[in-house]
Amino acid sequence: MAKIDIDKLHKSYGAHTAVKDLDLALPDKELIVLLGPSGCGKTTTLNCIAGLETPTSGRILFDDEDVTSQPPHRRNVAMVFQSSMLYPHLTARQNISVSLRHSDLGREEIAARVDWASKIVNAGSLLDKQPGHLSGGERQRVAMAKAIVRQPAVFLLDEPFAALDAALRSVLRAELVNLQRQLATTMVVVTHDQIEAMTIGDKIAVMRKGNVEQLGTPDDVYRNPKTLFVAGFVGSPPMNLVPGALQAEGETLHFQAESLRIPVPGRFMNARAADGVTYGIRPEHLTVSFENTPAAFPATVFALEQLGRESVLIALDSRGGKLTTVVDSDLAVRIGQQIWLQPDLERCALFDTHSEQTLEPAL
Amino acid sequence: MKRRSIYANIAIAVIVIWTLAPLYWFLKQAFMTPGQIAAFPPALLPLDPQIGAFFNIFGADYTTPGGLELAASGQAGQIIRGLFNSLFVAVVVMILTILLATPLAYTFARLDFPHKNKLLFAILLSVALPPVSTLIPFYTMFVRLGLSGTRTGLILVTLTITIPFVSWMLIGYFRNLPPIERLARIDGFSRLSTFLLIVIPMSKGGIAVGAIIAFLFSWNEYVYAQILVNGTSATTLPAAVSGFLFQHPQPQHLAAALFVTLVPPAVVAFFLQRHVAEMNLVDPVR
Repeated sequence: MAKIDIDKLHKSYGAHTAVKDLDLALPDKELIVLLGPSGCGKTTTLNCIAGLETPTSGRILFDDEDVTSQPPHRRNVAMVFQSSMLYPHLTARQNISVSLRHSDLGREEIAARVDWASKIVNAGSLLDKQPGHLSGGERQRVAMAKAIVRQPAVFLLDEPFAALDAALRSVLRAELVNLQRQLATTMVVVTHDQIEAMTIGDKIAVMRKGNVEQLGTPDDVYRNPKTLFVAGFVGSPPMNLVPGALQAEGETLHFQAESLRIPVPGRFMNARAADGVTYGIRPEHLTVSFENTPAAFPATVFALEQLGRESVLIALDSRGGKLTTVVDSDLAVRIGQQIWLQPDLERCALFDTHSEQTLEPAL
Repeated sequence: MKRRSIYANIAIAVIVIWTLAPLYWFLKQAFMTPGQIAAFPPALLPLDPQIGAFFNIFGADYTTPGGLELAASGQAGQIIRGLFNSLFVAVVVMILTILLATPLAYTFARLDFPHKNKLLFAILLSVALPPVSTLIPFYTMFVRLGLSGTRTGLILVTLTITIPFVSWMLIGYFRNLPPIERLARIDGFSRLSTFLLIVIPMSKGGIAVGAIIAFLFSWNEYVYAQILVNGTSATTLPAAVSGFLFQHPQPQHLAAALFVTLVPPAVVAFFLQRHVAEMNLVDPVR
């Protein structure tokens, strides 16, 4: 159990900067997800927390103790690597007990701890097999047992489910969350999969170009994205983002992008953007209707993707730009048909197109 | 199993016959008497096979059940010595090659250090050099050092070829390992213990293949052996066998000696073929 503070972390490889001036406070006993596209520095950050990489500058603190110069095994961390890497020439039992080679436990205590750890993740029957004879999910369980057995202060997981199929992934995600609650340990998970981040994280740190764009609960990150990047990266299908400008007419405010005109709530009255505004609306906040309503704008059906429970409708607005909405799966439309899109006006998000920051007034 | 087309079967048959027919034609003579070999037209199968030649090359006379006396070969001493020397040299070369090439290859494959690519290229160059080109320099040097006609000299020369070659091969193998060093560091293994306790045990397959290659290369090596050790007490089997060419022709002795030469590599290859199949020979230069 430890809270982790990352203080001005900087890591570069020659001319390439992987992480720059990253500040991040990870609270104790929470599951934090580092989310971002590949190359955003999330794995480098994780490796610095683990002690596998030495920061170019900056500090890592566990419970206010500076561990920056400590080797990994002194930090009391456990790590699960991509595709659940294990020693291929050792049995599952040996793999798990190797984690305790620096502990001062006796042989019997180690055996007891291995049994304890493998029971928690249901890997008891796998102990005498070699990793080559385990399925992806089984390897994952053994890798988790190997991490748990050390009773670490911090769990680090690098894309733990990347190599697994979708069904197994969702089962193991739930198990991971449950395990984190049981053990009440700080857990840091790296992933590029935003659905995974949303489902498992207590907090999500959305990373881009070596820095954190936003740290918040999944709900917070989804509802109130602080930057254009977060808005576009989190959510599936992604938020509709339309660049344009704000126009005030007396007491009312409009967003205008060429022929597209949408009313904007009054809370943005004092918002100032130097160089244009980007209007964001989630697909589920756009309603399709077949008649004109106030505040609706015309569009034509471009494509309909059926997902079973719902469908994703892609429409072309009057500018010719594509907008995505989520509709009932029994909605009957044909391609090219004229429709109206009614945005849920209060749920829109506005960003400064140039600085990419939200225009949402601070609450 | 997928059915092969008739054309594929014909092609396979042609290749197999093409490769094995000359070998068979020669090796069958090991089981024939000089009279049977001289007969015309030659027999396709060694009817009434004899094992006399195998006794002869190891220095024993042999009388066939038919009462024919086959005298021991004059080369027997060289053959026996050659067999022993070949085994000795090949085993020593194999062990030294693995002891040196494994850490060398691992260092090149998994660690970073200055001038790495230039040094890697130097290894490639020493593999690319045709052995014959260094023959004369080695010979003059060895005469002065008193190493000509010794097994030590032959081992040294063979190592100059097997170490770079096996290193080159193992570099590709080690590069393909997962980033296991990271896991080992989390578990608190030092660099050295990671190599000794993790990397070597999990690379047994690749190292075994490297060992076979070193063994076979040394076992088959003829050019250096012919120049450096033939005719001395350090002669190897290929050099000793070639001695049959320069005396009263005894084809059945030559064939029997070749038969003996084939046995150790065949045994080695048989036991390690599984690893050979798994081996991933990747070009280590990216």
